[in-house]
Amino acid sequence: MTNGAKQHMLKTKNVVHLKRATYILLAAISVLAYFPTVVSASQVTNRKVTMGSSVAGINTTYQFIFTAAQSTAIKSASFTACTTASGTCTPVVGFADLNTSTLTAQPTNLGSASGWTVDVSTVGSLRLKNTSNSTAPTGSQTVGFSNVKNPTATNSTFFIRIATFSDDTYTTAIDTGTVAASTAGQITVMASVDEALTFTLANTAVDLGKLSISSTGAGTSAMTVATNASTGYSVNYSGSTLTSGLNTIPALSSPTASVQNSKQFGINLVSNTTPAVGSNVSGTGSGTVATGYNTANQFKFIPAGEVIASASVPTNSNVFTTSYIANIDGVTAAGAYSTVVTYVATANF
Amino acid sequence: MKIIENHKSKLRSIVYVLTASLIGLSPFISISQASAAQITARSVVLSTSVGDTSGVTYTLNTAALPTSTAVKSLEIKFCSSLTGACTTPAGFLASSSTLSSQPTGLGSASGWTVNAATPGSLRILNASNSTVPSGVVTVVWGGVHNPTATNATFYGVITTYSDSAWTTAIDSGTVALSTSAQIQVALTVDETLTFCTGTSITGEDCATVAGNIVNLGKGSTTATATGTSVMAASTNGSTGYSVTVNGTTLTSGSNTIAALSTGGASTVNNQQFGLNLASANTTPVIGSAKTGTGTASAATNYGTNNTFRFATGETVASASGPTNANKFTIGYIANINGITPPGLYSTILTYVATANF
Repeated sequence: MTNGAKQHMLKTKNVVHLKRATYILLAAISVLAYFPTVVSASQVTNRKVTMGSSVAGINTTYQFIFTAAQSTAIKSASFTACTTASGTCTPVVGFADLNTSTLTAQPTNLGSASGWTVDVSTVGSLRLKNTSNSTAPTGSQTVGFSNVKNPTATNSTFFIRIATFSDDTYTTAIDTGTVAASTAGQITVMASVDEALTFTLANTAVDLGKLSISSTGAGTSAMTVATNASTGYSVNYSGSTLTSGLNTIPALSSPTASVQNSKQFGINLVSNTTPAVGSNVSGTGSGTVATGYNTANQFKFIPAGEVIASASVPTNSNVFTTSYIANIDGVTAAGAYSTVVTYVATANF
Repeated sequence: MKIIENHKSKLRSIVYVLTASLIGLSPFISISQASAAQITARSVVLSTSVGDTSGVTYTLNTAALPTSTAVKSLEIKFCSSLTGACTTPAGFLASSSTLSSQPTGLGSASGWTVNAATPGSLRILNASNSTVPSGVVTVVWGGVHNPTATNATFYGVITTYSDSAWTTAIDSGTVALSTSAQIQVALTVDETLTFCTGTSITGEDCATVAGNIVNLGKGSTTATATGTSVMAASTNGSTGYSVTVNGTTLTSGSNTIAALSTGGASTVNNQQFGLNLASANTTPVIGSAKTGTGTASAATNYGTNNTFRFATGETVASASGPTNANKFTIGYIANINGITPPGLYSTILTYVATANF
């Protein structure tokens, strides 16, 4: 073998060795490439997630608060829901399964104050990134997502694994940490309020006394009314005028003053001086006396019936005092005059 | 020829004399062999069996030595094997050995010193000792470096000597020793938050939660409507957890029963809706004390007997550190007045637990 041939063989051997060394080096580098991701990651501290609602299956907000362990600039971060806190991540059924999440606001203290965008490309994981961020995180970080679908199961614990990355492809982890969260059942509290109408008459008989041409017979009855009806109530009365056999004392068909020595029968619901009878409405309710029956010393009675008091809204109790007056003249036939007046309260629910 | 015969004769004589001498000395030879007795009840205790570890303590324990000869030196020679020549176990080193305390059972109670000149042996000596050994023997060396190999057996040959140069053996014995691997026991404790709400929970076990409707019954102007729900929570979060209540007051269409948003007593014939987690309400009688071994408690505004409150988003219970489970009973009250519109009033309350890790 010539020297040239020997040198050629030597060169060939060297090339082979160099190639082998290169391959080994490349293999080593490719293997080691995984380790910085794992080895350098530290745990985020003071971490928590606050859910806007714990109701299973609904869309709500997720606010993450944590403190980054390292000062490396973060270019992306992920919040992945898993059924376990560690080990292989099994996605939580329902969580962000359509991933329509949005950023509630630009995160705080994550680095740059702006430029962060949500990344909805991965189902079951909330992500955001900022390719151009070169500012290191400071203090406590806050990241909020909206429109995040909760896990489907009720009263179920799940875990969200937090990871920050130094690249914008969620590859090279900086810090990691896990928080636990739980859905919960909703409590429906219910109570029923029934329709109510309180209507009581304090009297069943009103004696107007012995009538004369020089005095007015007078008397009162009282009624209490309340309701929770939405448009309140109305109280109607009806009845004949004072009657004794075939004889009657005519009713006052319009508000009229009491005049002795004339035939009159009438009522109102206020305090009067002529004669001195009756009281104004009392109580905390909002009921009022109807027109025609709300003027002092003016009396009226319509046998066919008419509304004498009402309320337009739900009302607490009011006490109405009905004043009755009767006058006679000299030809009024003797006898015991009477009438039965019926009051009807109608609530409007 | 004669000269040769004379030499042969002399040689025979020498052989005879030598033979006779050997025969005569034979009793003494057998006595010398009989005195190198075996040391009994012997052991060497290592303070750690981890391979390649420095600063290890080796403690020799034996029964009382069988000899009545004063011991002036003692040695434990360490070997990889008991067959063939002694090879020091790789990594074993006695060069930094010390005598932790004066030995017992070797004679004199003092005057013993260590000799670290031989890396493969632990040695002590006391040239002036003339006291016959008695009682159990204990010798403690410190500063020994264990053999490198893990889970490897090695041997120690114990010998006592009547001189201080480890030459004239008295008694001996062998012990076997071994290094061993360390067992690393590891356990991962993940973050936890267990939380559930319902109308019944057995104990504090969220697996048993059931129900979600609290029916307060019929409102009345003369009596307070009441009901309860329950919730249980636990976490290993470093700063515990908090639970908020979220929702509206009792509502029926456009009608509502006003919530006790700043807290207050239950008063009939007033429109009121509220809740608390207090232990012993009496007006009305509703709710019950929390259960469980946890450290959580009701929030201040929701933990006072006979004071009810409801404001959405407020914290109703919390724990400030990791806590076992507690079950809270939430008492609800509703009052109406005369103008409370009729209807079925309801609200859906959502309790949200947040653990702080």
